[in-house]
Amino acid sequence: MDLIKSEYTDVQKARAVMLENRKWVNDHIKELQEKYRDKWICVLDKKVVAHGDSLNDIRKVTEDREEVVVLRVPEIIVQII
Amino acid sequence: MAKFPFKDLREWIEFLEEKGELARNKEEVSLKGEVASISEKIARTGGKAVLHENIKGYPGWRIFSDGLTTRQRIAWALGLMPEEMGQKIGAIKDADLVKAKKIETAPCKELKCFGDDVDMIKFPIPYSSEFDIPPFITAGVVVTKDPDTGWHNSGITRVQLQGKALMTNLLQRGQHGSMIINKYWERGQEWAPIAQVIGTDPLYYLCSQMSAPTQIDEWDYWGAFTGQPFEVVKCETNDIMVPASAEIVIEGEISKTERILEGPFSEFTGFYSGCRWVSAFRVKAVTMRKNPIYQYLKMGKEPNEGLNFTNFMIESQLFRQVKALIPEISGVHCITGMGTTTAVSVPKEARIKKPGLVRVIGMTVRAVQAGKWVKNLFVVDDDVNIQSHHDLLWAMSMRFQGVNDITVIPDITGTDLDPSEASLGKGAAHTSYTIFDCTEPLYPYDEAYRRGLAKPASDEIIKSVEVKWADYGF
Repeated sequence: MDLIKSEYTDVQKARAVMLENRKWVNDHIKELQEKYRDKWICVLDKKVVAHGDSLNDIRKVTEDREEVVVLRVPEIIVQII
Repeated sequence: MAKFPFKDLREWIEFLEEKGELARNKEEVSLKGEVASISEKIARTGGKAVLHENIKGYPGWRIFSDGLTTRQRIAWALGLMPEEMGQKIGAIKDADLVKAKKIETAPCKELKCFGDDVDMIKFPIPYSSEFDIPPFITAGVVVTKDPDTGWHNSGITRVQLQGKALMTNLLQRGQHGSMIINKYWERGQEWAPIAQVIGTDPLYYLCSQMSAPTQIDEWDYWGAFTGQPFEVVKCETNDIMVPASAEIVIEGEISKTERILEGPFSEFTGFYSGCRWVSAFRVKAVTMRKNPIYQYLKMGKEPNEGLNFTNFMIESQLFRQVKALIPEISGVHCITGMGTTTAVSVPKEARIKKPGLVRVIGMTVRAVQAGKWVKNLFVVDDDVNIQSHHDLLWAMSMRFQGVNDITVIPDITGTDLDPSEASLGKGAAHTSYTIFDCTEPLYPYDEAYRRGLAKPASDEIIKSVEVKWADYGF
């Protein structure tokens, strides 16, 4: 088994998609803070597909899928020096 | 038969299996929740270490966890008996340290990939909780090298996956890794070299948590325990030395100005941390052993492996550092949360000789490096077993009065991760420090204290019961 050159498995493909969704969150965090500050959001296909005040509002949508990104949109983001 | 000192993770796994302390799991496990849930149950029940041999979506990989979850396994990793661990670690002197030995090549270089071949998505990084997305490498020891002196610092810090060759590394202010990286940035370098190793022998993991003073390489403590030099090898893309026995070595560089949103993470506090803009860690190369084993460390709310052994290492260092200044203390126990709640024991005779000794102990604990996160300190007499939470609470119940025996020092440096700090309204890393004096009051002196503790029998009978224990049918 070539761990370096092998093709992605389905799980790894899903992980790659998750990372793209996370990058989208990072790149759009200011807009997300304006609209969903202090709320939980679920991101899939580079858009918010669910949001709510509690995780329970989100869990039904995520169904433990690897591709989704779930985040409580922070009020404040600290910069670590 | 494998024995101490274990030269790598594989010898440690072999030893645990021979001791009946390893489960080989051939059932398929998912990285999304299953590995973490299994690890949590192991910590809750004091179960065996586990080697997962069938990872969903990651054929050919194995994941090892919970090698250091129990006190007995920590003792084996140190080559000591459980009852002597604290004292032995506390007794280590600078003269006992053995400098590491550089070797030219090592098993961690059996496979190598550079540049576009680097793909961290192919590494089976489990989630530690439901919503730390993307997942974090939790058992990785980050190694940095002082550009002025060559001092190497090792410490377990969390690193979050952000892309194929992109991660984030949380460097906390005041910690040695952060101090070293800042030296590169202050001399004008945008990118500072960094390395992270996953899967080494257990003693190195423990040594990486030793809170060594500046300019002391943590791996020199490995030599203090074994009498032999720790073997290190140079990275491929920078001149940082890394453990030669590592399963996986991730080499990269960390940016002064490029920031990526990191978090949330299931912190040792038990809560998700917030998000932070943290330095980008670009991966330039990965080297590893053939058939590598990925090591996983469960973090989050206790009990878990990460906190079990970290608490133990902090208490050993705290005992050593405080004892050097206050020789009267007899024991230290980090109860929870990286020492945020800690107990210290001291003989009553010492308190009689030195009035106010409890408060002096309290101030000293906070002043030393290993005590930097202590928030609640219980001071008890040495007739209390500080390893027993029941005994500590008994001391609080029967020897403590809130109106007299609490000392609060407001507004000192906190962890920055304790969510209760926000309630002080002073911003991150502000906390208050409380000393609970649970020692027997010296005056006024109740008759019950004068009559002494009621033991079940004389010491001779109690000892004979211990000797005859198996004969009683237990």
